[in-house]
Amino acid sequence: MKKFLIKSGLFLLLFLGVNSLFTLYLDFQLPRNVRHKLFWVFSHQQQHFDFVIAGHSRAFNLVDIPTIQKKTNTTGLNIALGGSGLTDNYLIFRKFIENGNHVKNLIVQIDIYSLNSAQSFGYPFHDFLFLPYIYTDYIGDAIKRHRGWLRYFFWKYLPCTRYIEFNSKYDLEFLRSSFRTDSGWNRSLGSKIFYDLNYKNFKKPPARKYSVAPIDSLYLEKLLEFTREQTINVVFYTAPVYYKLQGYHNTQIPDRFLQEICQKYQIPHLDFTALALCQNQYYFRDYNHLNSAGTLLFSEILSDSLNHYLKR
Amino acid sequence: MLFNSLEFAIFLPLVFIAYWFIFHKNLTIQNLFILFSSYLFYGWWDWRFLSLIFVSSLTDYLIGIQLAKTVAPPKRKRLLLISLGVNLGLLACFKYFNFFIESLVDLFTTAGITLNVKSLQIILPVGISFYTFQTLSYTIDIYRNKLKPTHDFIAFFAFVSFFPQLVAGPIERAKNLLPQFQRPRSFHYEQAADGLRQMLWGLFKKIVVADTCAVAVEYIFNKPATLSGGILLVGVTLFAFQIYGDFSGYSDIAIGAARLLGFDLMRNFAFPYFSRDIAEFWRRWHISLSTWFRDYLFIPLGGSRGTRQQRIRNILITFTVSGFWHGANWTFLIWGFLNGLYYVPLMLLNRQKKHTAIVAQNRIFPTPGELVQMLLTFLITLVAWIFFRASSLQEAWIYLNGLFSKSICLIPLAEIKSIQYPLLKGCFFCLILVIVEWFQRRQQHGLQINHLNGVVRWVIYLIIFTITLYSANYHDPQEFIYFQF
Repeated sequence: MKKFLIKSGLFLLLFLGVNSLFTLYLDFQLPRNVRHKLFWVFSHQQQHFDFVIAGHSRAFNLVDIPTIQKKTNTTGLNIALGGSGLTDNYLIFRKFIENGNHVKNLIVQIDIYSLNSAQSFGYPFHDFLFLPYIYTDYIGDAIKRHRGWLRYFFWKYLPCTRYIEFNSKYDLEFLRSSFRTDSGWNRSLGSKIFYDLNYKNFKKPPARKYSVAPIDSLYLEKLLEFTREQTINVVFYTAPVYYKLQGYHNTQIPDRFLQEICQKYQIPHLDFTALALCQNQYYFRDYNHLNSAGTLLFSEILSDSLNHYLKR
Repeated sequence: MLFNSLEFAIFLPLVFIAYWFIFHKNLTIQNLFILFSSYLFYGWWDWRFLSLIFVSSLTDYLIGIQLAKTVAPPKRKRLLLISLGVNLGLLACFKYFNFFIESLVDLFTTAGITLNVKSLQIILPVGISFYTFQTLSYTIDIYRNKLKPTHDFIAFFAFVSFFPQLVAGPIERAKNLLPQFQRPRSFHYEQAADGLRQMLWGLFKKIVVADTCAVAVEYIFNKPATLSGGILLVGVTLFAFQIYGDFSGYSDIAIGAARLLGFDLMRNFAFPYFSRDIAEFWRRWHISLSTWFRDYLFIPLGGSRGTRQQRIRNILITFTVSGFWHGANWTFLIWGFLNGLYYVPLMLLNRQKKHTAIVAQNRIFPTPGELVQMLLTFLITLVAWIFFRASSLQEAWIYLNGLFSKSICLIPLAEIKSIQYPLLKGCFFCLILVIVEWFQRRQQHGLQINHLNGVVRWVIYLIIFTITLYSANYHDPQEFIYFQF
């Protein structure tokens, strides 16, 4: 029995040792995959931007950065991520700034979905994307808050467990892509417009009563505190929704919360949910997302509004 | 609890430690601990169905004792019928009830009569086909005076519910497994170490080979009408490896886990895809079920004796019932019947035992003739697998039509663009599996590599362990296919 236990233990130690070295390599190599939106964002260092846009898919897919740049005569970047909650938004923005980038304005797409990400998104906190940075205190803290101390402990102190658990996200294809230097994001400046998707008769979502999740409000405040420290101007906006969804959900709680936050931090909130284009299904891909025609039109409208609020 | 889940990775070491360090001094307590662990293992899935295992165990335990006390043949027969009634009744109720009802309704509908009978919402209890057959064989063996009943209540209940093989076999015979519960067990390094190796190989087959193939198989079997014949051929080939990796992987993990606890379970797979004819295939595939049907159905029907018609009947009945055992669907019946049809010519020519030893016994590579025989056997099993995998006869027919079309030699990449990566990965791991098992075909499992240098061995273990862990799905582990049977 003694021999069995010793040999089994030795094997496990050997496995952990070899795989910890492999994890160190992955920590270095995986973030070099600039074909992935997040790592492309983090690949920017020591650059100056007049504005960056943060949020979930309604920021990632519904704004055309080149249009805004042209209309406002500024430089910008879309750092939003599909299906991301406010924790993601905070971590992405802070890491982006700590990479030495200078930003004058942060434009945040905010709505009932971002204020209750767990209720709205399938995977609201993209923990696996931040694993290469788990040793950074605020990232580790966010992981601990969302996933609990046990998982955090394993991911931090038994490094190989990180990529073993998320092997379907970081597969061989991902690793292979990390050796390529070309990235489509350079052209779109981080946006992904729905070019090939037009409105279809999609199913209306069931009506809900929306609230504000404590974790989302916490990270929204962290984001705003951070921008205040960095003297970055913040503008909130809410992207258009198809007119049939207007007043459909019960949004009293998030509406009131947003009003209070805007008052507390003196932030302008541009609400585009009732634009004229919202009446026209020609501009929509589904209830919450514009198609390419809608996005290009909305980007022009957004630019006109931003012209009044951007810090130059 | 699934073998490929995190829960089992915690459960097994805890059981191992408690079993050898805390409960090792008293056999009854050790068996009681196995019983408790097995019920916990099963109850993790759904504790309500523990009552079925309990009823099946209690029935056969009591009937076994009564059978030994009874001499009068009619009374003995009555006791046997009670056991058959209870066990097959459980199966009929939980597994086949809806099938019978739906088939009856279909039959009447064809005759123009509308029956207003509704099927029930019944959950199929995991492993019911396995443990009912295991307890049945115990009673039948006592009835045939081939086995003496046990009076050790705990040992018998632990034998029926033994967690490594409870939900998907091997279907053990009381003659082999029960005595192991009745004698003290001691720890043997070689047995335990080999058990671990076999578990590792089983996990590799399940997680790396079967689950990788499953992605492409799912895609291809979901739309056979729109794909070329060549792709359908790739799909069914991958399914052949998926089902083999899944089920033989399970058996390897079960046998390995049992060996860690000092038990030797029967072999369930012996490299079946290296068979040179269908008879050899069935001696190497799901051995515990094939031998069960041989001993308790084929031989009582008359076996290979009698007239030509009787022998054909016996074979076809045995294979068809064996197909039906797998699931309550016409597809399984056809699958079983088809395998019976493959078998008949061999039996009539008295060539069913032509190949008993492993292929190329004393050579590295097979002869061209052996290679052709193996390929032909594999190809005819592929046709049968289509029925096994398809959800209905109609779907199987569409698949067969697409497969045997002019496009059988075409693999248009555009049709598989979205699954290119898992498909290539699946093919690659299938190739690795075939190569390893070819060179290991004289051994019990793919990782019995004691003849290699220690360092080389450890490097191989490390690579396989790493690949397996990096391939597993921790958020939504794939169930074993045979759980549904």
